[in-house]
Parts: sequence; C-alpha cells; structure tokens
Amino acid sequence: MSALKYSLLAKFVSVVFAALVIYVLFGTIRNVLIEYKGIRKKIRESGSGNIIGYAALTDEWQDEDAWRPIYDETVFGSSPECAFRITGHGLKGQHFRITRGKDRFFIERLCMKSDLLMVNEHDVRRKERIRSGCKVYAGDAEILITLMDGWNGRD
Amino acid sequence: MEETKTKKKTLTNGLIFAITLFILVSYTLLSLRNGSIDYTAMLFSLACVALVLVQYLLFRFVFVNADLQVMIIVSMLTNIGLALQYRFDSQTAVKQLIWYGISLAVMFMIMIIMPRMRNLKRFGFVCGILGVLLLGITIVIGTEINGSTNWIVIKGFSIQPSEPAKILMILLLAGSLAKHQQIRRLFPTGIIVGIAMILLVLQKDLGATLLYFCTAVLMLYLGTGNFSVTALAFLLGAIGAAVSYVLFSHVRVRVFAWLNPWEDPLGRGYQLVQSLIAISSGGLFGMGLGMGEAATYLPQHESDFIFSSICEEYGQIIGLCVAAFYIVLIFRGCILALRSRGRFDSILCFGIVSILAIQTFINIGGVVKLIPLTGVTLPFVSYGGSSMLTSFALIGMLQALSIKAGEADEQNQS
Repeated sequence: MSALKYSLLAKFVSVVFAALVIYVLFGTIRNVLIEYKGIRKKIRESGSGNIIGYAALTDEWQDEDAWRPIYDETVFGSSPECAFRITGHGLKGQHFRITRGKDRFFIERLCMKSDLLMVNEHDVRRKERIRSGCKVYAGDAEILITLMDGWNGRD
Repeated sequence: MEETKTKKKTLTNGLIFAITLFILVSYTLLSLRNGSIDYTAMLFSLACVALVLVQYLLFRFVFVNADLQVMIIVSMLTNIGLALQYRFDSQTAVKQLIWYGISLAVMFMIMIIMPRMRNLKRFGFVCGILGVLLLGITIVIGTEINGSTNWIVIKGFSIQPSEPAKILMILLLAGSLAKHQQIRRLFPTGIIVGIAMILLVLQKDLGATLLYFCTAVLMLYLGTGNFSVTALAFLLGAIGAAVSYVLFSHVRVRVFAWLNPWEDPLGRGYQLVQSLIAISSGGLFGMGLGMGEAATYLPQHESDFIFSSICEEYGQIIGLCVAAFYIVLIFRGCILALRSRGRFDSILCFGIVSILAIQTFINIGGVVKLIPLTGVTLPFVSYGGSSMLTSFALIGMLQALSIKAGEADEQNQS
C-alpha cells in the first residue's frame, strides 16, 4: 500500500476510532449512572446526610468492622430497612432513632413504652439527649454510641 | 428491575465488542503500514483481544461482585496505550504486553486474596516502614535515569521502587486513619510519610513527591474531617515546594520551562514545546494511527508524553475521551468508597482513587502546560512495567473492596 493510500485510510479509520471510543465512554457512563441511582436509593433508605458518629454492639466493639456510621437521622431496629439493623429478642422493627438537633444529639423512642429502651441506666421515655460514649440497651441488645471526635454536634 | 439488568448486560456486551473492534481495527491498520501485511501485528491483536475476553469472562462468571465498569474503562485505556506502543516500536510493545499479562495475573491474585484478609488494617505500620525501606534502598543503590535517581537496575532489569511504595503508603494511611481520628495520634504516620517524601526529594523524583503529598493530605481530610489541619498541611507543602525551588536547580528549571517554554524552545522548554505542537497538530481526529511524528521529535513519547502522542495520532476527541475515562473511573471509585463497609475499606478505596486521580492530573496537566512537568506516567497507558503493575495492583485492591462490599450486601439481603 502506498504512503498516500495509507494516510487516507488512517484518516478515515481515525473517525471510526473516535466513534468506538465515544461509544465505550458513553456506554460506561450510562451503566455507572444506572448503578449510581440504585446505590443512592439504597443509601437514602438506609441513612443519609452527614455522618455524626458510629455505633457498634458492645460484644463486637473491638472489631473495627462492627462500627457502622450514624447519619443525621438513623433508625435502629430489626427491620431490614433500618440503617442500623439489630436482631435479637425484644427488638421492634423500628425500635429507636438517633437524630441531630441544632447543637446536640437525641435518642427517640419509636417503639411502645413497654419495650426496653435505656441509655446507660435511664429509661428513655420519648426523646432524650444522648452523648458520645453512651450505652444504649434496646431489647436484649447493647449498643455503644460514639460521636465524631472533636465535634460535639455544634454547627 | 430485571429489564434494567438485561439492558445493562446487553450494553456491556456491546462495550466489550467495541473494545475488541478497536483493537482489531488498530492492528489491521498498523499491519498495512509498511506495504506488506505484518502478521506479527495481527498476532499481537489476537493476544490483546484474548486478554480482554478472558478478563470479561472471569468478571462475568467468577468475580460476580467485582466492578465490570472499572474493568471496561481500564481495558479501553490499556489497549489505546498498547496500540500506540506497537506503532512506536513492536519490540517494546511485546514487552509491555507481557507486563499487561503479568499485571492482570497480579490483579486477579489480589482479588482472590484481599477479600479474605480480615487483618490487613493492622499491617499499616509494617507497610509504611517497608515503603520507607524501599525508598531508602533506592537512595543507596539507585541508578540515575532521566535525571532522577529513582531506579534500581539488577542485571538489565529495572524497577522503580516509588511505584510499589505508593501502595504501601496508602495502606499505612488507611490503617492509621481508620484507627485514629485525633491528630496527635496520627503523628507517627505523618513522620513516616514525611520521611518517604524527603527520600523522594533526594531522589529528585518531583512527581512522586507531589503524588504522595496530595494523596496523604486528601486522605487526612477524609479521615479526620478537620479542615484547619488539612489547610495547615497544604501550607506546609507550599513552604516545602518553595524551599525545594530555592535549593534545587532542577526544580527551578521545570518551573521556568513551565512559565515560558517558548523563551528557550530548543533547551529548557524543548519537551513542553514539542508536546504542545504534537497535541495541536493532531486536530480533532488526529493525523491517523502510524502517521504522527511525535516518535521522532518528542522525548519520552511512549511514557510521560503518551497523552500528547494520543492527541497527535488519534486526535483531540479521543484525548478528551481518555481524560473522561479517568473521571468516570474516579467517580466509580468514590461510589464504591460510599458502598464499602467499615472505615478502613472506605478510606482505602478513597486513597486508591485519589492516587490514580492525582497521578492522571499531574501527567495530563504537565503535558498540556497546566502545571510544571514532573515526570509521572499516565496510569495504564504509559510504557513501563512498574507503572502498569502498580496501577493494576491498585485496581485489584479496588475490585477486592467491591467484592467485599457486594458480599456484605448479599449477606444483609439474605
């Protein structure tokens, strides 16, 4: 093949290359966005917003993987839709939630008054203040709560 | 939901087909370059296609929780690079193809082993010290290549220890940041990273120093969320850069060449001027594969300046697509960091993405005159065994985290 013919062919093939690469790029972007929507939905269902702290079951606290994030509003309970799923005796689907107020954090009862929900030694009636290092007793589960170091929830 | 999955699967098959077609068309064209048909090019293309297909089948049927989109992006980038390497020199392209095969094997090994390693975060300090030792050994027995003493040559076989050391540094940072959020507890980690950076400065490896520094600062911010400490780290970095500028002549040369390369186009500004000429001469669709002239006048056209070569031969559209592929890869990695369970996994994932993002920015930014040239390779595309092996090891770690997150999701659902 002469140099001129090769040059013309290479020019033509350049357009083919551009088309192929653009197709791969946009196809990948489309696939990534489809999956992103699914993951965003999952994140929204399980907890959203800023991470305000971490929680772990007291008998697992030494394992770093056991510490799961608590978001601005995190529901704890036995339901699979809860951001922090805990299974055990005496636990309701949605047992309690931890929320962030303007300058402090709160624990709020979502279950009946007859269900066990205590922070340290105190029974949670409706909505109580919670601090870093508190131990929450829900049903037969014990959960250790830590809030972000160096940040006390103050805006 | 099922319909979306089927659509996605069909589209993914289409993408693999497009990559295969790209490879076959590239080498068919290159095989016609010298008048007669070059059968070596055809064989080379078949080997490339085989590697892509084997990867795809393994991802589809064995590593079902691994990230197929990342594999597609990496395959596309690697094959754009390989086609150009073959166009420059078939002998070096064969070497690079062997490295591609080895890198894939390493990636799959990491994907098998890492999800089963539960105590990886505990080895952070060991990794950090190993990294410093690697860099220290380079100071003692290193060989100077292209102005930097960052290579170890053993019986004609050369490796760049700063490449594997960056994986060790990410592991050190992720391990420490997952364990401690208080700044005072991060001092020992900071000292190790600082020593590593001083060793890199002594090796005159500016690109790697910048890479390590930016990655460490980004990971520090992610791990602590402390803006003032991050700003302070950047300030210290800026002071360090200013001190390097005053102390080292090679830093001054790079900055002068960046500020006005046209002042000395045949001397200090030669590389940058030739790079800019190559990018502009390609136009939108390029001069055609095999028709560019970068190979004759652009130094390091196959490694540090590969992006300029892509723009010249394939065109600026494909150049932009290459940059966009990296952006999608980074976005994908960030999604994975959100999905990951546990602090260590999230921070490690973000660290991997950060280092790939910063390396890409330093390389492309350097060759288009956005920042001074620092001599960093373009991940997956540039020629170089150490670079390719490290990039694929990082992707292997990313895939292992994806597998771990996928398995955790499955467990939760069940």
